[in-house]
Amino acid sequence: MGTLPAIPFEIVNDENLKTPDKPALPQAEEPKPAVTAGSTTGGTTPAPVTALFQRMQPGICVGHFDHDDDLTETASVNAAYLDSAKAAGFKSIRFFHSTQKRPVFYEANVRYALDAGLTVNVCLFANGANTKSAEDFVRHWRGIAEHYRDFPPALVFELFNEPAVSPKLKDNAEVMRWINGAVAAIREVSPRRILLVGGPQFMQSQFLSYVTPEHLTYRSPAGAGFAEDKHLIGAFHMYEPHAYTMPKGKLVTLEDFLNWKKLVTDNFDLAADWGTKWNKRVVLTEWGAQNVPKQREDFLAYTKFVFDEANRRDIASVYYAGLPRNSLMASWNILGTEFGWDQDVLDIITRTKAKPVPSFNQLANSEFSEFEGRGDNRSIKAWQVTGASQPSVVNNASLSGVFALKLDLDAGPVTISQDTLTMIESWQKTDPMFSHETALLKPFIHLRSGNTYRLTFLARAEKPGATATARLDDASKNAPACFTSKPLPLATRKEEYAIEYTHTGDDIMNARVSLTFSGEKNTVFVDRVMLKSHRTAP
Amino acid sequence: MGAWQGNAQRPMTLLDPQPVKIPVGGTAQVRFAAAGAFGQAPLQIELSDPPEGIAVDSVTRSDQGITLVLKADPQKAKPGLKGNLIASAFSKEHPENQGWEVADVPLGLGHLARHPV
Repeated sequence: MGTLPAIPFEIVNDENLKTPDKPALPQAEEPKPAVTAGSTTGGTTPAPVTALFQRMQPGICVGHFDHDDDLTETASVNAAYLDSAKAAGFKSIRFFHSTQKRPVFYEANVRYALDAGLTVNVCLFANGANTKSAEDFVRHWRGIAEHYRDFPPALVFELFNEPAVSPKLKDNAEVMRWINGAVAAIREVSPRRILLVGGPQFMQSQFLSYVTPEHLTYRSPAGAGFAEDKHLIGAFHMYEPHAYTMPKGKLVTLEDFLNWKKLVTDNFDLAADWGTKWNKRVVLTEWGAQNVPKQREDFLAYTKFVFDEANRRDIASVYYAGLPRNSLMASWNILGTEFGWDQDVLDIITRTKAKPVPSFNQLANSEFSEFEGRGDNRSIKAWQVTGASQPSVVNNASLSGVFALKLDLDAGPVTISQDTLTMIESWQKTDPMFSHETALLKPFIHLRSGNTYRLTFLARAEKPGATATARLDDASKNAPACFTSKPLPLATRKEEYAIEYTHTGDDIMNARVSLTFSGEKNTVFVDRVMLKSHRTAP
Repeated sequence: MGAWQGNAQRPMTLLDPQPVKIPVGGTAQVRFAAAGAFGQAPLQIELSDPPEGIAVDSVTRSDQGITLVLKADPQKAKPGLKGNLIASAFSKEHPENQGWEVADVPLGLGHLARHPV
């Protein structure tokens, strides 16, 4: 409805009021620095940064905030997600801006989040062949800065996500050279945009030692450099102890790490010291732990300790992760498509009772737009295809988005299916760093007792006579299908088909979704296969 | 998604830019010049993550602006503490705003500002 300017205040004893005020200090050109309650970083920080800082805490990492799917579906999914994150008490989101995407790709979501009152951290994920040099990196950032030049200050930029991960840049000085060039480019466009700058490697706190005037030699058009830049915040990640937060499928407990608290606090002290030294804020832009396999109380104790210790040092923190889609990072995720937010974690971080989450699509690669290899016979990510003929991906089916699945039924029926294992196996071909064992511990597709599931897809057959049959079963055991639909006749024009099923048995945590297409001497085109629930289960 | 659609807002200014001194156990007024900024709807102002012991006591409105009365709890407020308070304004009546923050933005920085930063 309206905004109020920040209100500078001081709490005083009654007797202080009787003392004549000291003469007002001359007004500085810049806003007077503000001190946040409880700050242990010492000194003062510039008012704009302080105000925004308070609007970042607590934050949630969204991960790769994009589907390669059809944009309409992407936007609706992410709008629902953003509403959900906001209602769960998060004040900021941090998402990866792929260097493979143009800024406009993310713009709808950025606008929606800003309008919802969320602070938005655009963090560049430098991946792909178009990011091999400092010049490439600077070009990306110049484009982002120009695209978002007129956006409000609640849009902030984080220069780099873990350079050692992608683009696997491990020369510390070179990383800072890239960042320095990018900051200079951004400052030409937006002298006051809030920038979050971390160090090289995995952005651990010790590498904030590279975030210095020695490495950041840029000057704004007005002549301000690192030391004078009141809109620059330090950024770091903290996953100590690593063997606890990412144990690769092993069950570990905090008791296994006698000095774990000291590891955490030492990291935070380093970051706080950096803030004190340079009179700048510092933000923990990633922290968290894989929540499987874990003893629940142990995991929550770790979460609370880390969050409290960051707070104690006035370090805003952004949790990793609340991902709005199923992925191999599910073991980090505190948002499930069927189970909503992890309320125990929210009780620590946001102290907000989450509302039921919107109905998310449980399937990956619904639009058949992600694949491996080249040519007509591509391997389709996340899906398993079985039958007498190989599928192909085409770009002229006129169903949804750019790509669709083409199935030749001449030699017999063809079945497409998806479960956690098929997703993992296809993802691992391109991302071998992900732990197969850990991912399997938290399967993606669920059927909850009492929920009604709606399986939808777009299809078109070349000739009359083709049918589609849906099947849902438990992928973790050999058992009869819990649901098999009647064969649906497919039209020769584009139609959307919907099959509903109410699950009445025990919850199935690792479900498989299958669609079998039949029809002699026929070809069918399939697209946008989605599974969503209408919830009744708590 | 079309053009940027922000809320049309009238500028508000803090009449006294000096830090407001809130006595422990007492109250202090903060006045904003905001002619007609909030229309006629009943107004609610909430502090965002205020320091412990600081709260809004009351809000009054005139044609020229609004007056916010802040109070400091004698048991919880800590003398010497200073900083910036961040506040959000709500309409109590607008049905779409029931239970929702409508100005949940980085205050003091402007929201949906159509100007370079």
